[in-house]
Amino acid sequence: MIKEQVMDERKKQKSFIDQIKGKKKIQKSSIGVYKYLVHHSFFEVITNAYPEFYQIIQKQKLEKEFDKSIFKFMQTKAFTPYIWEMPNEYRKFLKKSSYFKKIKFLDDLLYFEYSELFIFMQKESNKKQQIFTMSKKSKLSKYISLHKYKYDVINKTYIKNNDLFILGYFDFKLQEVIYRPLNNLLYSFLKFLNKDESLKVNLRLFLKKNKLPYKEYAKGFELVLEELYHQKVIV
Amino acid sequence: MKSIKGCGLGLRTEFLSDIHFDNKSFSPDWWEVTPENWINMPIWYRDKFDEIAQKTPFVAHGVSLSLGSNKKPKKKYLKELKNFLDTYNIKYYSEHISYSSYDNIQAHELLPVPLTKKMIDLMSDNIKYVEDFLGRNISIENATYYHAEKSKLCESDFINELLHKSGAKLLLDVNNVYVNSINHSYNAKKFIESLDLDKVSYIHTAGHYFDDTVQMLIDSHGTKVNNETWDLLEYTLNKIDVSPMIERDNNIPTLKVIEKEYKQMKKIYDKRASHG
Repeated sequence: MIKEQVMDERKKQKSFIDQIKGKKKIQKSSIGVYKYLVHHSFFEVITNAYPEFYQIIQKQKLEKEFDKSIFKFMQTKAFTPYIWEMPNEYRKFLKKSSYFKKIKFLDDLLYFEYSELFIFMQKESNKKQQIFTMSKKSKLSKYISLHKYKYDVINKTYIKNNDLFILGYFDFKLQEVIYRPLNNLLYSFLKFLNKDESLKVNLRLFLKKNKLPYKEYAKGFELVLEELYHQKVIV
Repeated sequence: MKSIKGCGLGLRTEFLSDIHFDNKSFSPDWWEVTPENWINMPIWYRDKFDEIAQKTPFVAHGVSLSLGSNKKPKKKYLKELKNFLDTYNIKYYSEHISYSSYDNIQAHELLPVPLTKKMIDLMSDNIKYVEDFLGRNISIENATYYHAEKSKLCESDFINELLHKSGAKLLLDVNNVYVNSINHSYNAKKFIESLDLDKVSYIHTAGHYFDDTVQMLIDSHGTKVNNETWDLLEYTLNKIDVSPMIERDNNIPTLKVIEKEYKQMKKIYDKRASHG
């Protein structure tokens, strides 16, 4: 008791936090209420953001490891004030941790599941666009996902596939997130896009770099780029 | 806060599709919005949110500033918050007498602050820092707490001194007062009387439930407002002329259901107003 009285508030707060985040043993049942509330809130947000991941956790009976990972995450890497960003912090935390090493496709699965949430939360509205032209300087929208997956998490086969290039974007007409596979060439071009050059210059430089004839490829690229422009994938 | 009249409701995404602006449709006098939920929002909500903001006044109530923290709120977040408040012309912003992060690591839960003079100093500094950044006088809410460290200061003295030292207004949550009064065995009405009621900017009400496992009332914001809380609201409104609102964050019902509760609150508010 005497020891408790000399603790200043900094130490009290630190001790309290350590108890509710599972770093120290709970000293009083009333503190346990907070441990429950905090864990519950993290658990809810993470499992809602990663439903497929959590199903796998349940199927493989990894709930204990899951709980441990949540507590460790709560203690070390939960920085954002925005609840919706928390699952992304958890994803990054798992990537650098030793949890769930048995699940080889974990990185891909979490990236895929989070990308949908991320695309939903965009600030772009469905503004009218100018007419598409290859001479326009363009860049990839901040609100898309362009990713090379090692495993087929999209179709939930989880089979290793080294050529899975997936574009995710919000379709304003359908009001939903669309995922579509790209070929390596288009994926590489979109990654190559330099916002300071026109699409035409970008395409010339890209094809030259890949030793591909401009005349043969230009028309095909133009068609698909126009479509991606109307889908606000390139802006 | 005196310039906002009438009664408010917490705006939730679940209500958006039921909010219309014809004469037949229900709308509260003002909406309370939680910036953390709306600074970034799913794209299909944005147009509706903007429309509501144009038609009905907004008051903002934050949850993550962590005014009782050892670190000041991050500038990046404060910039986003200020931008949100300015964009939607929101004059009134409130937060909690609590902390939700320590060493910048979030708990995403409102945690009880030690009731000490040092904590009053620290929170006052943080409040002034936030007020300078936002260019607004803010309100701070009395929070629920399930655990209390022994302290020389009682809760109401702590709150009064904090209000005095920081210059902040008080967002008085009567449901929190009720929940704390049962969990920590004190008289809710006497507690309210002991507060500096001149500093109250507006009032929160919400629902709670009794949890069998922990044998405590839990401030869940997930049920309808209990009779005891209505009673405490009425008692408080007979003492001060401020606006009340209902918070509902879990088990969100339809707007139609909340409308009934809103009308119950409005009745209490109007009764008080007719006396005044």
